[in-house]
Amino acid sequence: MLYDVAIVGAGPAGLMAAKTAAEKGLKVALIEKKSNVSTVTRACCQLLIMDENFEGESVQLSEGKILFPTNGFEVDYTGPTFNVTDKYYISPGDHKIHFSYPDKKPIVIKYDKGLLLQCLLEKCEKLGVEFNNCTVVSSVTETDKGVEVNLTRRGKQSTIVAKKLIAADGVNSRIVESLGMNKERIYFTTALCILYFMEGVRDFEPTAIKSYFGLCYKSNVPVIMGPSLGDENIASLIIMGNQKQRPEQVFQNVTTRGALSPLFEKAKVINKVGCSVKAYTSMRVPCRDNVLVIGDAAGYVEVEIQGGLMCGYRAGNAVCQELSGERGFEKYTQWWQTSFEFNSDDYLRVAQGFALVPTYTDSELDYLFALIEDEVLEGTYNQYKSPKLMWDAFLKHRDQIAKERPDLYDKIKSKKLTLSDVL
Amino acid sequence: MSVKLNLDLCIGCGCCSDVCPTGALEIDEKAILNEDVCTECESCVEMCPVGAVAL
Repeated sequence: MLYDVAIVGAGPAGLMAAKTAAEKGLKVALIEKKSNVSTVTRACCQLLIMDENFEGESVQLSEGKILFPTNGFEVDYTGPTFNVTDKYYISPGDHKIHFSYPDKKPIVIKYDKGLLLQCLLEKCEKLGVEFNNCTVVSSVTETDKGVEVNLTRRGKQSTIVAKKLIAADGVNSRIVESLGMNKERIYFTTALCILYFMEGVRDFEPTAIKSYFGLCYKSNVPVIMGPSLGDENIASLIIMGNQKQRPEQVFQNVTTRGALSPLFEKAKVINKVGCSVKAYTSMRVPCRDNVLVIGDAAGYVEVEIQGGLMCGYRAGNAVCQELSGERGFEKYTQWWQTSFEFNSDDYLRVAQGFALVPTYTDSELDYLFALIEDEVLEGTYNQYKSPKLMWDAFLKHRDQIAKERPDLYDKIKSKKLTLSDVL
Repeated sequence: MSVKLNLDLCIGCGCCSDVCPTGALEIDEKAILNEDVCTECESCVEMCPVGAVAL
């Protein structure tokens, strides 16, 4: 049996690609390592990001649908939601940088990814998509006809043949690795993450996401606390580590030895989920003759759920165009390169230049955060925009910083940020 | 020769299965290890966020 397209990974990108391709009449095989898509077993924040023009789109949530007006599609979602209206960056001395919108418009909306994916899968199956669960890809071979995909399911081997392959198997994509497509990317680090669900956390504000910056918190990466879906009293705590300092150890330090430990005196872990991420630079040209790599598999760390859905929609259309003799992959690549900020040449330099810890000491962080703690910055969740807004706000006080903390001012100038016009 | 999987620690995230080059690790609620196929490359040991896989 020759499929038009084999899609590996039934996450947001893979499911959306499968649905879009099937709607266009293509014969689709969808491959997924897990047994179902409705239980989210890997750490995922499950947030709908409400920034305007985020990844080239301004999503809306309306009457049981998530709308993607710029891209021109929608997905059904009738499950629970929870609005986060405030974001705080918090310094060692508890000075807070506050991000929010006027009239409490949500910054992000927490929702149930499992329900979203289950609904998409049901639509796919009604459209005739062949869903192969509990199946991992052991290797992929490109042929002149398309691709051969070797599969393992419960110990048994099999092969499927397709004209095109969409690799939507996530951030540690086996397909990308086995096709040698990681050679053109720079590898940074392997980040290990555990998301802890906890009850009894003192002073917990479910409508806020709080990131704690500073060595006093006993984590090199900011500790992030936010809501969980379903129970307003249960906090979710994101802890990052690596092979040298495993997240369980960081968690112990953060909750029992760091400056946040008083919040956890009476707290209990109810559940935890984890993930690990091999961080590579993004794939600027995410395709070959018969293979299109989409979503996190081609990204720098993450595209977010809505990014995955957009990639899937665009990829389903791209494959259909390719099979009709049009340059679908080329059009997809143009959209990919212009819609995601990590595909710009400058992002890495800017991201590294803007990083707060460990460049700035705890005392310097307190000083800087205190300068702007009475302001309210725009309620962006965009991880490339947030630091820019923050630094613009700090540097409005540059004369004061230069006078009161000249060493700090020199350190800031030496980072050569794109704020040089402000400086 | 094979890695060892501690099911008490395993939280079923599937990161091991993602990186296993031989397909020795599959996922169904928790990881399932096929010791005959494992080549001890240690990719899973490296990737497991909770240290459930070890040599």
